[in-house]
Amino acid sequence: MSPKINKLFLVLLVVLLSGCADSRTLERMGLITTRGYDLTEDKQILVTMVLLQIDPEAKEQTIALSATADTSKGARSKADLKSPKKLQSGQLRVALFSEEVVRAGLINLTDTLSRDPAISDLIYLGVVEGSVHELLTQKTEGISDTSQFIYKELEQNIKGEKIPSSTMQEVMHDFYAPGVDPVMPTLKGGNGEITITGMALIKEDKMVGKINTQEAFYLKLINDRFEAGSIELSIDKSEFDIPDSEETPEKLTVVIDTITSYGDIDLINKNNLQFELKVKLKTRLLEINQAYDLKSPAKLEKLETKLCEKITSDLEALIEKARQTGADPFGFGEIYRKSVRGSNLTSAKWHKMYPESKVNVKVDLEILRTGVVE
Amino acid sequence: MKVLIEPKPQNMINTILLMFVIHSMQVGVGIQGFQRIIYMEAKQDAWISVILSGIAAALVGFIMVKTLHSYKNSDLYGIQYDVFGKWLGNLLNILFVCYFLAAFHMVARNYIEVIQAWIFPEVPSWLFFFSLLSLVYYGLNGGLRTIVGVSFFSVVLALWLILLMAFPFQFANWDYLLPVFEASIPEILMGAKQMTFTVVGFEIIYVLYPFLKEKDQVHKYMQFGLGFTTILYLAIMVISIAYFSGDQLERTIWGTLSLFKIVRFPFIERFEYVAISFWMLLILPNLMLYLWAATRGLSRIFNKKEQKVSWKLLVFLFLTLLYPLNRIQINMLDDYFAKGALFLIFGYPFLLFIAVVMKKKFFSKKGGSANVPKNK
Repeated sequence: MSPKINKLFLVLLVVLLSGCADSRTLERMGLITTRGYDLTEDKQILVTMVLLQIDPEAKEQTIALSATADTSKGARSKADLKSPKKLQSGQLRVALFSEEVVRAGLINLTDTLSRDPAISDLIYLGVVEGSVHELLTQKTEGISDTSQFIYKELEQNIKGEKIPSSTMQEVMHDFYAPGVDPVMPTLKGGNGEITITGMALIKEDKMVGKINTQEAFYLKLINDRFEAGSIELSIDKSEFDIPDSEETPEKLTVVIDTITSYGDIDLINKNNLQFELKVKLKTRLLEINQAYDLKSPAKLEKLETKLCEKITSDLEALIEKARQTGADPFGFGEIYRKSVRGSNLTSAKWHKMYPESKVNVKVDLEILRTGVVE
Repeated sequence: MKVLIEPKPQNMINTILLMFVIHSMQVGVGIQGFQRIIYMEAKQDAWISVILSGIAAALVGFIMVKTLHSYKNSDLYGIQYDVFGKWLGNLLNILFVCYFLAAFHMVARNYIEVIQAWIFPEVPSWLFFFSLLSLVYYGLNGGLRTIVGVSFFSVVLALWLILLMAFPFQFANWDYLLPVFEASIPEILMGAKQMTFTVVGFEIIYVLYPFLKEKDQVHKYMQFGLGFTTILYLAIMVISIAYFSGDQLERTIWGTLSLFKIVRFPFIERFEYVAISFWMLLILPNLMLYLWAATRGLSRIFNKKEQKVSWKLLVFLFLTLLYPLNRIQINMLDDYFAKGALFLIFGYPFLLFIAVVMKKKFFSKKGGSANVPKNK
């Protein structure tokens, strides 16, 4: 072939090939930003999809479509019949499951999500107390776009280190890991608000319990190294010599803000399954609800010890609570797997061993600053 | 067939470029999903298998260069012809041509499967193959220097992709690398064996050697290329083990691409689409060089002009690629190919080297032959 024909050939290729793939014009796409899953009475799945409207003249920024089918993809193709635009899940941000769905088992639904290359691994998963359909279709004043609202709310709280992160990557990771169980935030709608009420404890892929946001904070304390996040702690004031009067509250409550924290789990006895959990906290005091002399080092130290005791007992209570349900969101199993050679740990094996385990909690708390005034 | 080759000076390439050629040949489709097959064998010690395979490649690379050094300026085809005679030698030559064609086939098929699984499920395969093969033809028409240029740019332009591995770091949990050495030695070796499909590619030196300018530096740059690849594979393996949990990694077909799945920029939210499209740049030198090697082989054996062979081979490959295969069949084919490659690339070079050494001794006793001029 002469060079001229060669060049012509290339130009021809460019022209011919560019028309071959499906073109996706933004205006003709229905971008799904949130998906919700409910169970219907006859065990089918009710899928609710919130679409972003790309139309400046539209009254509502979003529309919600729902359809019932045996599988989530089946519901999607049914929902296509109700939509003027082709449904696309590339912009999916949040997937919500009703409590009922998660109690029945979650993995088939998350599996389709992770199987689809169009869906990002960084979408947030969450559990809704009550009906997801109602939450997503409710009209709330002040919230123009429910799905964006939920996404931003989750993102803000996860980035602000209030609750453990629950992206699909992390949930799937923990599900497939032998010694740790996933957690997902629980949401509740109503009264014109959407609130994060805590975290769902999940054993394998079934929800078995719930913890509140305070406990979620402790969970995060155990699992991650993190920087920000504040917590309110109430302790018995009888041991402090605070003058008693009618007006002051019964309990001494302090709000501390963690500057850095560090949680470390060690297996100290592999035959008795004894773990040691060490938590180190460097904090600053934000608020105290009673007059307390923060100038005196002795008193500050006493406050520290009391807070330590409080956190220790709270952590023990949380671990006990999780153990009762059989879920291990802390990853004690992973510590066992990494410390015991040839353990061949599987999820089933670990869940049998887990109720027998014991944990010693050691907390080391330090108040570095008490603000700009004393 | 002439054993010795005297390429025209304008067709020669600088030896330093060999480094890029070797690296770009090794990195191709295997890297997209090698983690899980190694992990299945060696579990969290898979990274040790990667190191072992790197050492094996370095050793084989050394033997290959040694073999080539025994001749003044010849390639695999010439050496086999010289050592084993006309019939057996040419039979082996045909075998290697078949290997190169099979490698081409596997690379093209695996890459197009990735495109179809991730980006364009509906676009027919023939269209992809056709466009890919047109590009290969373009490179081949430009001759070896164009092809080596493509490999150079495929390495340099793809280097920034490594930086993106920083994203999975935020999800990495290094506990998953422990306990070290839990896998038994046979398991680790099995893992290293599974690396075959991913590390092969450096055998191109067998065909490329006569075109390199500075022969004394060949070995140095060969090892640089191999070493860089091993480090890259090791880094990806370690990150993958820390990022995925065990079963999750075993279920992930294209681990490296899944690592890209969490790369997110404000302007590109789904980075894997860019990565997969960009991968064509990494695939192209593989395809071009494999086809070039096969073309060289046939044109040397049958004394034909390269240009007349190459397009016939391309048409032949296009036809073979049209045969539809599903994921499981492709996996099986990958396995067969890996088995063949294990023997041809990691076993046979030692045999050839011994044969060459013995022949040299035999002839030096008799006072040398016309075909073996260089006594080291």
